[in-house]
Amino acid sequence: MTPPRFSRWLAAWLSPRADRADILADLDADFSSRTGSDARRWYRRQVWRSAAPLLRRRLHVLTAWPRGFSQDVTFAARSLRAAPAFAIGVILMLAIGIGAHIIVSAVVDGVLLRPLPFGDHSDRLVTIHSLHPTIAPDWDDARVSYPDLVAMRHAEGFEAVEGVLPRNVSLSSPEQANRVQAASITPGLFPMLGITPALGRGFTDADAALIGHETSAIISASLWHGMFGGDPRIVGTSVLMNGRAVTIIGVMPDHFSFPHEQELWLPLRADETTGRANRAYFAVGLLRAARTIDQGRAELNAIAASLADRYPDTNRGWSAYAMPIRSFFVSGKSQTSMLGAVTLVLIVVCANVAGLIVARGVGRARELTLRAALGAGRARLIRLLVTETALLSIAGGALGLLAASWGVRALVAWSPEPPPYWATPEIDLRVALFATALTAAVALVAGLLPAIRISKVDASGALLPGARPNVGSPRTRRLQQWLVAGQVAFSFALLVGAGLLTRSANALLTADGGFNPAPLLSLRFYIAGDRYDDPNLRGGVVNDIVERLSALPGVISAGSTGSIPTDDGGDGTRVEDPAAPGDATREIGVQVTPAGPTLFSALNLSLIDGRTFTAAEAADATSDVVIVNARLAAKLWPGDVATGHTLRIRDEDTFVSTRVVGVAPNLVYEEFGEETPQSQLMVYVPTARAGWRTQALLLRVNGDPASLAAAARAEVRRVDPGFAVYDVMTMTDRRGYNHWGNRFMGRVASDFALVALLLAAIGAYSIASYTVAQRTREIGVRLALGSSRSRIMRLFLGLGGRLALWGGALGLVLAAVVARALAGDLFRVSPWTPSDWITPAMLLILAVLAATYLPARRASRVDPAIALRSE
Amino acid sequence: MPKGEFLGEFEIYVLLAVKRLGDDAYGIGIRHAIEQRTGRETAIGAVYATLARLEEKSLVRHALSAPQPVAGGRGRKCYHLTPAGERALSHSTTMLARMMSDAAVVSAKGRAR
Repeated sequence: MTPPRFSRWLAAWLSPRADRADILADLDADFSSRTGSDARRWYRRQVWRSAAPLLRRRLHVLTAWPRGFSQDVTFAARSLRAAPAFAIGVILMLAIGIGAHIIVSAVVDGVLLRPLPFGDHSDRLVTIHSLHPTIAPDWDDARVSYPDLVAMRHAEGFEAVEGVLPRNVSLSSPEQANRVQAASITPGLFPMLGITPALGRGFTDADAALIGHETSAIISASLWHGMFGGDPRIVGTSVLMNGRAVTIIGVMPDHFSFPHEQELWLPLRADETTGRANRAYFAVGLLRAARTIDQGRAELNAIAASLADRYPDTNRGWSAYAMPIRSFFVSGKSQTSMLGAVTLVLIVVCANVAGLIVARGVGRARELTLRAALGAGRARLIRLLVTETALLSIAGGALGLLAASWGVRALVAWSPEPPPYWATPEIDLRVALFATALTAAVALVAGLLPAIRISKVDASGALLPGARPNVGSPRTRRLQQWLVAGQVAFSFALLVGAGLLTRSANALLTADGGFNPAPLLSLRFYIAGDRYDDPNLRGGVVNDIVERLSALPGVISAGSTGSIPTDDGGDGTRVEDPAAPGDATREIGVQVTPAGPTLFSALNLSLIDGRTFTAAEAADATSDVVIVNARLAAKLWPGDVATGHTLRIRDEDTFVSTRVVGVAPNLVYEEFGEETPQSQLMVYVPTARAGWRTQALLLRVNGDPASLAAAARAEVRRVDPGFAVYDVMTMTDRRGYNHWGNRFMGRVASDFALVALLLAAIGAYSIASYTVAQRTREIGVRLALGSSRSRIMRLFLGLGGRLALWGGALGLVLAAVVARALAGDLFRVSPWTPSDWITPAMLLILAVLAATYLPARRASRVDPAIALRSE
Repeated sequence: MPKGEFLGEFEIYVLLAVKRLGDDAYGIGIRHAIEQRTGRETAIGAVYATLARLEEKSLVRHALSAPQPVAGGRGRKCYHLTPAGERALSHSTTMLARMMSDAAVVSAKGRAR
């Protein structure tokens, strides 16, 4: 007769492992002494009544775990206090690894995971683009013409198609005038996006007006607070936009902006003269609920094809494309690859921390064996070791989170192209939770594996002087050596790259633009208002302003131009080659920039030949005089004096003949690093002739140019309060500002390279440490057989040397790839300069040797008597 | 044993049984001893759970006996009182006796519970 099967199974399941066999044997013994159904009943009753006490016991064992926990924490903290360098090193490494990961995770969260702010149909919003096979698709520029946009509204799969025309305007109130990023939008845009103004109302079709004739505007919350002080009665008030009165009819909700950083929106009605070739409109569509984006694309393409048939002159070859609005704003590709990179860094950090823990375990062999001898089970030792790592991880994670919250803010503030407001990365609860999970995972990975390994101690060998823990097989050691060599290679490539970027940034800052920037103040203003529709008046008012600025105390000379030298270029156009008149294929691309009479004296330069413009020429839109720069003069009339020659400048389908009256020294107008052959060939035309409403002013001053900023601003406004002065900066600051990104990249790359170097050194240190520990006996034998201590030392320094060599060789290849990739972005720096390679190599060898020196010295101090006794 | 922590009734039974059985204090013997004297059937799980708890409090210790002379025979856990166990038991029984003499309550049947 057998006991009831289920009850027996239950009894086994309920019993603690230590007593399971005894309990089952006891049950069986009594069961066999009974007979019949009574025995089975008895068995069942026994198991049933045992359930409660056994379960209670099991729960008790489970809840007993945390009871030892505070003890573990105390032990762990005490043992870490005894090794502060180790603890701080590990915490910093973890903080770097976890912090970097959190920053990138926050970016990925903001960009890819957070919902869009456009209500429940966010996923149906698409941007619509016109594409031509010969034009590379830069999505931001692949825009749509207004008539095409209207045609696309017939697409059945779309609930709506709306257009946006980004533009800048000048906005002035009685107190101030500002340059504002704005957009003309079709009235249906905001309703389609599902966003309504927080104050006032949105646009209706009745508001829509031709560009320049708008009577209403909607402003952003930031502009409302910034320029209008958050005035609650703002709706209905009137402001001057480009010199014309418009009524503010609404204020958008906090943070809202569209499509980029616009602060003002105007209701758009397209002119019938807006041609199909004028592809300037950023188009957004809302797909119907049941439609897929592929269906939408097909339908748009059908429309594009029929337009190409009907309007071959403007539409042949053009197709249409739609993409989800999120993909338009953020591709997500670079963020995902960044996530991969920081995950790799975190894994390397974990590997290094694990390596360090094993290396430290070598020194703790006696402590651990003693604990084992005193009755600590293996599980208990592992728990203790993992608790130590957990403490370090918590500290590292907290520090990393702190650093990341600062880093994310810095990233947003310094980003050259800020992300859209709804994708701005921030450390929210979700990211913080993720950080916590990440820290726990790190603690487990970096703590558990080495703990399992070094806790394998033999308690019986407790007090032998040579007691040492298990530090892994030669195979795992070789793997670790390759890991360290890989880190060495990685840091070498980073060091080379960082050096190149830093030198390039310095070259950008110190490059010669053809003039001395030190005494110069630069600013821009916009000639707003209908009364300046006559270009002669524009030339006149610029002359007037320059004259008044010249009279300011402290100003030596003032001049006007269209754009600021070394900041931006002029208009690209073409001129006829005098050697080949009428040959369109030999036309030469040049940059045309407006210049006032005193531009060159403001720059403290004199012309090479001829004369500058007169004030009368600057205020005359029909004057036919130009100044060319020396490079263009040499190209067009080699070996001849350019002055007096005729220069024919292309104006759409015709040429305009002009007289060269002067030759100017070569100046760099385009930003350094962005010059092209075309941007180096300059034609200066008089202010009124060029007709630009945007003007740049340069002031050469005695003393600090920044001190004249307020006076210059006030003087421009005194001439016309509607002129928005903006971008006021000393030339020196402007250089720093323009190349801020390059310097930042150099700094970041240098910091990363140093961190990588530190990680590689720590890796080398830990691997050398446990190699020494493992070979203690061999060292003893060598010493006993008469090897000198310096030889032993050299033996282990050789290990470091090998790591540096392997890593360096691998690093050369990696660095060559990096250098090739960077070559195009470097400014006047050759990536193949030997000194850029030798310095990092020396630094790296020194770091690795320094890291192996300590373990090597420990090896050379081994006592052969003790080392041999340990076996 | 910390102040204020009393032995439970069943714990006292188990300790008394371990003491009485001496070198034969195996799980099954302890259970039989309790069942005989209380006249009640005792759950085997309760005995083992209590032994484990008492061992955790360092009141009993076990040693493995020599393996039983059968195929696959194993050593069994034989329990004995530690000095602390002796002290705790005599303390508890003394207190119990004192309390009972004060109240002059003696259960006719002497049944547990």
